Amino acid sequence: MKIIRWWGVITFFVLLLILTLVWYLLAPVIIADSIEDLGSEALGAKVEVDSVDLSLFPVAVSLNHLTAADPEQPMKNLLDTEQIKFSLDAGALLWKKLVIDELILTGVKTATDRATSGALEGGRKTGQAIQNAIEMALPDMEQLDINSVVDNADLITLKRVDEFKQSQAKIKQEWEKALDKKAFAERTDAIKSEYERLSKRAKDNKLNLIKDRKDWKKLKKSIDAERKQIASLSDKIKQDKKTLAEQLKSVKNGPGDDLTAVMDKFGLGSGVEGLVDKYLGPKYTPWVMRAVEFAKQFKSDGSSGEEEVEQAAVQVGKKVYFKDEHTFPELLIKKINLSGSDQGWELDGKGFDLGYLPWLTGKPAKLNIQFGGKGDAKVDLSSDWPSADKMSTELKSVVSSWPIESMQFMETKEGSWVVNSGVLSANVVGELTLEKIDLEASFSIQSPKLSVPDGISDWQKSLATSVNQQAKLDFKLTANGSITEPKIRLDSSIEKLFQKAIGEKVKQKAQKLTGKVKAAIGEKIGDISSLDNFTKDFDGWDSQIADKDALLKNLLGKIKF
Amino acid sequence: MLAILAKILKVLNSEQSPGQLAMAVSLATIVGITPLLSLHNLLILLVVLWFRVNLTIFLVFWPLMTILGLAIAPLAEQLGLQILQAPALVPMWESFYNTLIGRWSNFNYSGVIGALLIAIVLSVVLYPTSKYLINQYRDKWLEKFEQYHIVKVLKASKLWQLYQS
Repeated sequence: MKIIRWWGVITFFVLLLILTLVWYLLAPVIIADSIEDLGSEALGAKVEVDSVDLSLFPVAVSLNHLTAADPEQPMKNLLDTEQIKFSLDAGALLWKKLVIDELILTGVKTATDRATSGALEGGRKTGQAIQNAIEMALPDMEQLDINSVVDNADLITLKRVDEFKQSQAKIKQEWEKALDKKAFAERTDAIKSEYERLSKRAKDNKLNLIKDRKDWKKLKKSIDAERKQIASLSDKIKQDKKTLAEQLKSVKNGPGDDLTAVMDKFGLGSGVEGLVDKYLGPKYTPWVMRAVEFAKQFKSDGSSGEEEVEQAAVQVGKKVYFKDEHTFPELLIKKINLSGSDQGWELDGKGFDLGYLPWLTGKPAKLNIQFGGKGDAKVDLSSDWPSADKMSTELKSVVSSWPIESMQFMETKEGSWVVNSGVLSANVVGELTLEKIDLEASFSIQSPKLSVPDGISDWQKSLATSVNQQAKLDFKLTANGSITEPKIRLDSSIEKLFQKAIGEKVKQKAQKLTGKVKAAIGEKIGDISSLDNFTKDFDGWDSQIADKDALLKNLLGKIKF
Repeated sequence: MLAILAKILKVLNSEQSPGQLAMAVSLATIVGITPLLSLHNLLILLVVLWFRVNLTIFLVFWPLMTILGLAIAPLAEQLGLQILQAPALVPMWESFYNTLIGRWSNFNYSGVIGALLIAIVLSVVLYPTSKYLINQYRDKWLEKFEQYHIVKVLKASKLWQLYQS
């Protein structure tokens, strides 16, 4: 019988050819879908590609008319490109890596209008978009039912008191077990009676000292072991005391935190002075938070790149990275060329060595973009990854004398507050590492003319009028501290305008309200001063341990061996 | 279901060698249990088509083994991860990963290598087992089997006639 089936071989190669052809025909659709899905998920707004052209010899891809919607203004595009064109290094593709020698973006525009909304239906699959619109209203302080708000509030102090009591009970239980009267006393008595027995024998006959030398040694050993245990208990006492003291401190800070939280509900969380943060913060700080989140993401995932494990699709399982002798990243764009223009501005940009995983590029990634036209603007970004756990990204951006025609100042429930004219200058300098952020951004708008939405209140109108009368508005945004707890602060010359607009009477009323809320919180929490007595138990345990240690020390001193 | 049974019975009753049928079961096990889009499955498909491996049995067992593969996927992933991270094997995987075949084999995915290992062990066991069972069926059980009512009904059906033609 023949074992070879020649028609089978032919069928195999025909099938292979058909599969390749199907892939070639479907690849543009697959590429476009992948870019749209991944891009939309990353951005939080629709990313769309009109068409994709693919050529095999050489391997090159053209993305025609790629648009990325602005997640904060869904009817505008954040980026609108006529064409993105790049060729892939076939040699690197053989190693399943995408190496792009030059990526050319032409016809780049920003803030173009969209025919349909760019908002993602149902939001991002992961995470939530940042809410920018804020309710810019002061409460009617005369009508507030403080007691009912405080009664319904989930006070953190009460939770902290519960946690403190639970910890206290747990520690007490542990100590009662460790200092179990029976076991603790029994061990001490056993040592004591053994000492007395041996001493008596030695007293009766000195030679017994030699005979019992093994027992004496054993006794000494058990005293040493017991004292060692006492030393560790002594350390534990200190540690437990410290833990409870810290928890108590947090309990005592609770009423203050609760006051802020309740006042937040009235829109006065940080008092009248915090209004700039409240009203301008949502407009100017989200991009800082995004940068922080970006760094955090790398911090948790970063590793040496060798034998790193990454979750892939179901059934295929986890991807394990081994040391790669082809030390270029899975995606490397050696050079990017950006060009574009719109009414009143033109853009020219270059980028170098952008890669994923970034520490495999061996060079810092750089992006330099220059805007010209009505004014001058420059953005220089450099990101250096000497290793997976070390990164330093520097940003320098300068905008000089850029005439403003329409710039969103802030977004309230009533609509957008837009600066219709003025001259913008800005200077942003910052450094971001995997550990800390240090950023300073200052903006100034000369001769601002603000248009406001309908339906705003009197004090808001007064604020808008004051803004329009200013020769210059200044903002300064600083972000520093660790990545886990960044401190973001916004200072502005508008602060005084806010206070002026709100008026002295409102400020006084706000202070009075704070006093009333504080009293209501205090009433709900009750007296927590009794918690200070937690040290009493520790004193008892401490003296019990100290007594035993003194006794053992005394016995040890009497042993001649 | 009846169509599948008729297909299997027809092949079992045919004059095809038990080795050809057992090899089909064995290779279907590998293709079914491991993720389909893997380089080794292309090789197996070539073997199946090139050599006289029984295609009917292969096509019947493939989906059955795919269901088994999905069921044991978590176990395969766990096993794969252990194999890939075993300190003694890391140098071998590392040098294999740095070859072209290694890069395209996807063996650095825990699910692929784990499932492949389980599939190879199963197929090695299934080849002699199924060969033995086919021989036993043809020698001892065939006559008894044909007396069963369901087999008689099946043989009288149009479906059977269709497969016989």
